[in-house]
Amino acid sequence: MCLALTGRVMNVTKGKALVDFDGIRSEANAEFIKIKKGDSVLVFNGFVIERL
Amino acid sequence: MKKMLDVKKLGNDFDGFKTLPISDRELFLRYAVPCGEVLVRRGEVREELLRNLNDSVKNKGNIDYPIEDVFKVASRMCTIVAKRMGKNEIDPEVIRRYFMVEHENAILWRKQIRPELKLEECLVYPGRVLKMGTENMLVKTPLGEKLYRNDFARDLKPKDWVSVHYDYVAERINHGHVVRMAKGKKA
Repeated sequence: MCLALTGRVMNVTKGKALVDFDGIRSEANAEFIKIKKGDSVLVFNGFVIERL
Repeated sequence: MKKMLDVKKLGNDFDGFKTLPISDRELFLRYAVPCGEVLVRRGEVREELLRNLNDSVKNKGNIDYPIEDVFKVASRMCTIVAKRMGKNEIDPEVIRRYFMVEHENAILWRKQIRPELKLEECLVYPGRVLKMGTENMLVKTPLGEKLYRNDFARDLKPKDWVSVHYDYVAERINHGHVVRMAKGKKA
């Protein structure tokens, strides 16, 4: 659980989210969770696992 | 154990994530409790709660506390692992895959975003018991020889293969587990 990172959702398209981690952007799988642009999220190994 | 959380809401949070049930709660805790000290340091989990969960495993007590909410990252990631394996519960195979394999993948992923952090201690390692003590046991892992807590150890003896996580021996493992965990971890 120490491996997860928090980031902000830039956009969501078809179960994939573009997440900004303090300037570094990375795509994450968002098919298991309801999120939208602007949400703060917790990401683990490329999966969005919690909306904060 | 006093319940602080609403069990009825288990796994069905406001963000729509539906956590699957954990079929082997003791095994889950054997791997999750060692991480719990990180959560205590962050102020996310009370030390007393972690001690109670530790005692539940140690004494083979009932684990009816909503551990899915305490170890939310682990239970949610186990859910994702289970679904990708076509399962509808978090069983021992899922638990071991998450802690033994997915942690490794998570470190590789995280290093792409935050390469400055060293997180090797978060990994689960295979090890061989060298010497048994009353409170600790000496275990040789790819990281070297170190004393690990005996809390969850039962019927272990020197030369047994075990998995270690932080300062704990999680469980006795078989050769297949050793190969799976050793893969990619440099001694």
